[in-house]
Amino acid sequence: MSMDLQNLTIEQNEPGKLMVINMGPQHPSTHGVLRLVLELDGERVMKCIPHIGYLHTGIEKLSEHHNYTQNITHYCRMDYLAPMNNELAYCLAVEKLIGGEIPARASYIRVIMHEISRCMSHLLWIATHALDIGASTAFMYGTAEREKLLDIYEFVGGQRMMTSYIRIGGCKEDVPEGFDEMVRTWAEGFGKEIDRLHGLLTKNPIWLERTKGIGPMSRERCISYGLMGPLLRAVGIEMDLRKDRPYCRFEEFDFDIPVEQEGDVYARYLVRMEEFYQSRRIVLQALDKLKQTEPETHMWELREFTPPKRADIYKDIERNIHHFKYWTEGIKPPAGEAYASIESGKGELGFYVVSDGSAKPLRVKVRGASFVNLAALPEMCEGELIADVVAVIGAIDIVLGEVDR
Amino acid sequence: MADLRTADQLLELAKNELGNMLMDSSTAAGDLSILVPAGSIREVLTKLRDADGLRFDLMSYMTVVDYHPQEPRFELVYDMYSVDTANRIRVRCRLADTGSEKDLPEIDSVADIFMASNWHEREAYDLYGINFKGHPDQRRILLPENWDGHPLRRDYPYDGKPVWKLGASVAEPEAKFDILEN
Repeated sequence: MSMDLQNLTIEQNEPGKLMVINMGPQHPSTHGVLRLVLELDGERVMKCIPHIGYLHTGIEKLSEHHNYTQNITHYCRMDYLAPMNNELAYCLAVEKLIGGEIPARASYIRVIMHEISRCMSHLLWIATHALDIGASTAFMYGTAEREKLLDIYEFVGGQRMMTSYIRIGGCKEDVPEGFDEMVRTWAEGFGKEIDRLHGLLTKNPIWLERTKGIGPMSRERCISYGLMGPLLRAVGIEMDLRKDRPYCRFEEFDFDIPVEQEGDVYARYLVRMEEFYQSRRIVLQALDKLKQTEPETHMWELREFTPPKRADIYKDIERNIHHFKYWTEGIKPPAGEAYASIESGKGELGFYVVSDGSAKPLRVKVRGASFVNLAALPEMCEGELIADVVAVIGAIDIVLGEVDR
Repeated sequence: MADLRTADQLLELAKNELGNMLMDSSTAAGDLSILVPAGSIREVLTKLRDADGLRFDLMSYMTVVDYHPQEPRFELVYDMYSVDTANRIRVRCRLADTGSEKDLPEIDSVADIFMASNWHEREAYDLYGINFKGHPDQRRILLPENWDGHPLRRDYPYDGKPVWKLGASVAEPEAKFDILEN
């Protein structure tokens, strides 16, 4: 018998005694393959032990055996609800290792895709979170709106997921013609869509009953658990890496950080709902800035770390050689280490990359927001009712691909 | 609000606080990292958390880098973040390999000071085989409990070890996978 079950006092089938039940890994409300062992006193959760690792694919081990460019494809598969966020964080880390300036156009494209990814992540969060609690209408509106964002993804990166669009040094391609119009059309209608979700949920008495006062965490405990992102902002800490440690020229943008004080499921909900509006604001600003930049400047100038343009490969032998060198040997960043992190929809997503000067990294550590945030689940749901466990999981907003890696 | 300091300023503050526990320091891409003795990791992290001007109160992540075949081969990295000032510091310490599975390299756990390190330390134990003294619940986190070896060590084969103990007999009656057993 494993250690955690030995610690539990199992005396089943007797009234007034504790009962151990297993929730997941196939439970639809655990958002993937999360398994919880719950010790219950009636309906009250006395102890909660999360088991993870069902989706462990050894991405960190694989990273040490593939070159820097190939690795991008692994990371899109971690947080598959917002693939470009992972690519962006990894590319920022490698760029930090190499050093070099990213052109404005590439940064603005990244900002737009980063915010769109945040909206994608949050839309699926509100859809499934509401569905878990029993409000199925929000699920329909949430996924329908997310479909528009997936269309933008497909338009830009060629696929709805796993785009590998953001590359070391910039983006794979410049945005296609009609991108501006497409994003603007979406952004114009987006505010109304979120208003509709607000109308469905925010003052709904059933929603309030199920979320207010559920799963609270204090400020000190949140910091001790290392929680970041919406969970930290829901306890009154105005912390956002986009403002505190700006990357991708976020210092040029004008936006607010939504903060709530209560730290319960409802506060986390309000924070994320406000982030939709802020993301929309940032996207609109970035579109204006994008217009002022030179087209086709989506990659940096460091020739050694940039693949040659397709049309140039056949022009002279040097670029032909460079093309083959780039794609077979891969790039070789200088020996050293770098950590870069972004404010993803779920919290701080960071990559710690150690290079020994060869074409493959010595070590890549993924600081996944879901992994860190999930560790606080027992603290949040112990003492709550079993029906609230799904509300708390929804409010943490995990994706198991990032937890297990 | 953010009060970003340069690596030199942070180093100065850390030097005052840690004294001779600060063995070495380096700056990579603007980020400061300091090397401390493995034995005093608890003391160092507590001091960095409580010192005025530093306040590294949030553990962003903790991980291990394996420099095999160099010795000491393991380097533990604690990335500390300050919520008040948005500064970052990487605290590292080195551990030598013991060469045996029964007697893993050891370091004090900080899971009671920073709750965040609980799962990170379990991950380090699981994938690198580092023993954390005083950890409340040290068991494998990502891999099954009967897994053989620690796969992120650089001498662990890329395509896995030839025999997996569970074998292909998971569905047989005497198999170990029972919902209450695991």
